[in-house]
Amino acid sequence: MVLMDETTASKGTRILGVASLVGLALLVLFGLVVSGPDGSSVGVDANGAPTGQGEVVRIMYVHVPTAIIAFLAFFVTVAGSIGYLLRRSEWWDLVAHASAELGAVLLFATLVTGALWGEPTWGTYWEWQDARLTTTAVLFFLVLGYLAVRRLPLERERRSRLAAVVGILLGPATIVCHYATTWWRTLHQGPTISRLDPQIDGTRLLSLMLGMGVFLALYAWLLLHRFRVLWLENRVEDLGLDVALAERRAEASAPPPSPSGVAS
Amino acid sequence: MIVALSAWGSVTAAWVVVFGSVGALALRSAQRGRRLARQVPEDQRRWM
Repeated sequence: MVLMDETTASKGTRILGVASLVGLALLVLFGLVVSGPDGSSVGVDANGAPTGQGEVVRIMYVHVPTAIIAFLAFFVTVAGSIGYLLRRSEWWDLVAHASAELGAVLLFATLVTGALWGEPTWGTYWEWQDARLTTTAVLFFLVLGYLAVRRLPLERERRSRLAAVVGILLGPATIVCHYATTWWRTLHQGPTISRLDPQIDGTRLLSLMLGMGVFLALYAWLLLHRFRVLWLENRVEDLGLDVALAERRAEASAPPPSPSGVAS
Repeated sequence: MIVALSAWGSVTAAWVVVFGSVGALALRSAQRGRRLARQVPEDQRRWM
């Protein structure tokens, strides 16, 4: 049995974890069972009958929340990076790092679910000429670059400083990605819910909002755990350095070997 | 080769990818956290 004090969990993370799992179960229920297929969002056919996306609209309940929470994660990374550069505090550095890891995973999920949604809706998995898709891919590679910087074999403070500079770049990249559908004509649809008159309603809107809540809770839960894992990594690194230093000091203070090389 | 999935095939694949990737990260974090926590003195784990 694993002892409770040998994990990164605390009372708060356990409550958040349970809440996330309950929300997840509700999301599955509402997103895949209760809400119906879309029969009217696309327009009208040749006979004037409304047409919609059908069952594939259910991808929206995971695609949109993962995208929005990924954007949130990158803004937290930007805040953490600025905080680190101003205060040189390990806390800000770890928040930025942990949030970028989560953002990368969520944005990966966004890209894959977007492709899976695009094929039945647009007839293609990917379109490089679409501004939203391309800026999302650029953002994904930028965050991978950030995470690569975090693995550079440099002295910790220098690595953190360099990562903070790259981390700040995630801010403008995220803003451009978010507004891509507004600034340019794209295959990707424009804002659906971030306006005063949301383009969906009923159980579909409820499922989407539930998805937002669930992914926000999952993000907060995993952010705490990732932060603690990174904190522990730093402590283990510090302990390793302390041991190495102690060994070097012991070697330096040890009596020199006898000239004959034979112990008396 | 481009493979076209059925509507429910696309939905299932999307949901599995999302929760598979988030679940994999959660599992990896839990395992790594457990391994590292054993190496660090209790007074340096401030969340306890």
